[in-house]
Amino acid sequence: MSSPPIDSELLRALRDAGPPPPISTDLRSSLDGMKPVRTRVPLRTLLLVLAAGCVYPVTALAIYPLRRDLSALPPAWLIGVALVWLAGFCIPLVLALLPRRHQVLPDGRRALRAAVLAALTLVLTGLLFTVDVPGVTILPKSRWAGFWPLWWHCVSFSLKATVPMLLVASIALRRMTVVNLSFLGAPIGAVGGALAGLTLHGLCPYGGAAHVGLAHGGGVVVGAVLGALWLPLLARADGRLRRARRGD
Amino acid sequence: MPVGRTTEDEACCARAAALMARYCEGERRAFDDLYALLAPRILGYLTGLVKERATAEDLLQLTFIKLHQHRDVYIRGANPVPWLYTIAHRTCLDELRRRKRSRVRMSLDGNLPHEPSADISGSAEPPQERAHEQAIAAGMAALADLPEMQRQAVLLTKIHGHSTAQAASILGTTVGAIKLRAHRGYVALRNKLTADPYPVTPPAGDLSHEQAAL
Repeated sequence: MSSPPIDSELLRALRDAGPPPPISTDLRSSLDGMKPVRTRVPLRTLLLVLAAGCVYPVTALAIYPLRRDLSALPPAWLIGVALVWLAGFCIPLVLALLPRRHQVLPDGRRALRAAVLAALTLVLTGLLFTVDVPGVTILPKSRWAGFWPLWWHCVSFSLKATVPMLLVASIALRRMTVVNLSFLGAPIGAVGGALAGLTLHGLCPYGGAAHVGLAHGGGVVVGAVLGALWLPLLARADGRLRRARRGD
Repeated sequence: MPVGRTTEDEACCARAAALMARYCEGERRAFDDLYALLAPRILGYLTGLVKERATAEDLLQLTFIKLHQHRDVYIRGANPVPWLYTIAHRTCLDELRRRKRSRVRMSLDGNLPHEPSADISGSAEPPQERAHEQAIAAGMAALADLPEMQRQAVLLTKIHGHSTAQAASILGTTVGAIKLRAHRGYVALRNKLTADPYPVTPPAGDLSHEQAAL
C-alpha cells in the first residue's frame, strides 16, 4: 500500500516562510529618485534582430548575380522550397523573441524545439528534395577535396548573416535574467542560418543534394551551435564586468 | 495533495501585474505594495533552496534590487510572478557560485571558527501550535534532505503551485525533466514525512501522538 499524499495544509505552510524582513537600506537607497521607465516591447527587439540579420543577405542579393539555372528550375519546387526555408526562419525567430501572452520571458524550450526541428527539416529537404538542371546547374565534385571548399563557402555566407543577428540579440537579451540562455541562443543562430539558406536558394549556383543539404542546411546547424555557445558566454562576461564595476 | 493554482493565486498575479505597471510608471508606493504581496512567497522559495533563513533574506533583498534594476525588461500587462521567481533563482545560483569562489576564514590552527549553537529548548506555545510547528520543521528538514534538483522542482510545482511549464522556464530546463524530478522528489518527501515521528497532518485537537510520545 502506498503512503497517503502529503497534506495540502503542510505544503501551504512550507510555502510561506513567515513575514519578510523590511526593505533593506541598499534596496531603499536604490529606490530613491525612482523615475518612470519605458518597458520592453518584444516586437521592437524582433524587428531589430531581423534588420541586423537582413543586412548581409540583402547586400548579397544586390551585389551578386542570381543562380544561372533559376529560370530552368520548376517554379512549384522553387516556391515550395523557399516557403520551407521561410518557415524555418520565421517560426524559431518568433518563438525565441516573442513571449507567450501575459509572460515576461520567451519560452526557450519551445524555441529550442522549433530550432532543432527547423534544422532537421532544412537539412533533410536539401538532401532529399534538391532538383538540378542537367548541364546548367554546377555540381560540386564528389571528392572531399572538391566538396569542402564549397561547403565552407556557403557556411561562411550563413555565418555572415548569423553573427550580426547574434550580436544584436545578445545585447537585447543580456538583461533578461533568463536561466538558460542557450535555449534562446540556438534558435536565433538557426534563424540566421535559415535566412542565409533562403538567400542562397536564389544565389548559389552549385547544386547537388549533398551540397544543398550539408552546406546550406549545415549553415543552420552551425548557426544554432554558435548561438547556443555565444549567448551564455556573453552573459557570463557581462556578469563579470558588472561584478568588477561593483567591486565584488 | 500538492498546492494547486487557485483563484487566490490568479488574483495575486493580476494584482501583481497592476502594481508592476504602476511601479514602472515611477510610483514608489506600488513597489512597497508589490514587496508586501510577493516577498513572503519568494522568501519561502529561497528558504527552501538555501535552507537558511538569514541567507534567504539577503537573497530576497538582492532579488528585489535586481527587479528594480531590470524593471524596463517587464512587458506591460504581463504576469510578473514567474519572472520574479526566475530572478530569485538566478540570484540564488549566482550567490552560491560566488560563495563557492570566496575564501573561507579559518583560525590559525586551520579550523573553521566556532559558531555557538542556538538554544532552542523550551516553548511558551500551546501544545497544538507546537505540534503544528514541529510538523512544519519536520517538513522543512525533509525538504532540505532532498537532492537539489528534486528540491527545486518540488518547491516550484508542489509547494508554490507553478505549472510544470512555468517551473521549467524558471529553472531553465525541460518539462519532462521537471515532471520526473518533481514526482521523485514528492515521493521521497512523502516517504520521509510518513517515516517521521511527527504526523504528516497535525490533526486539530488530536494530541494522541504527543501523549503516546510522553
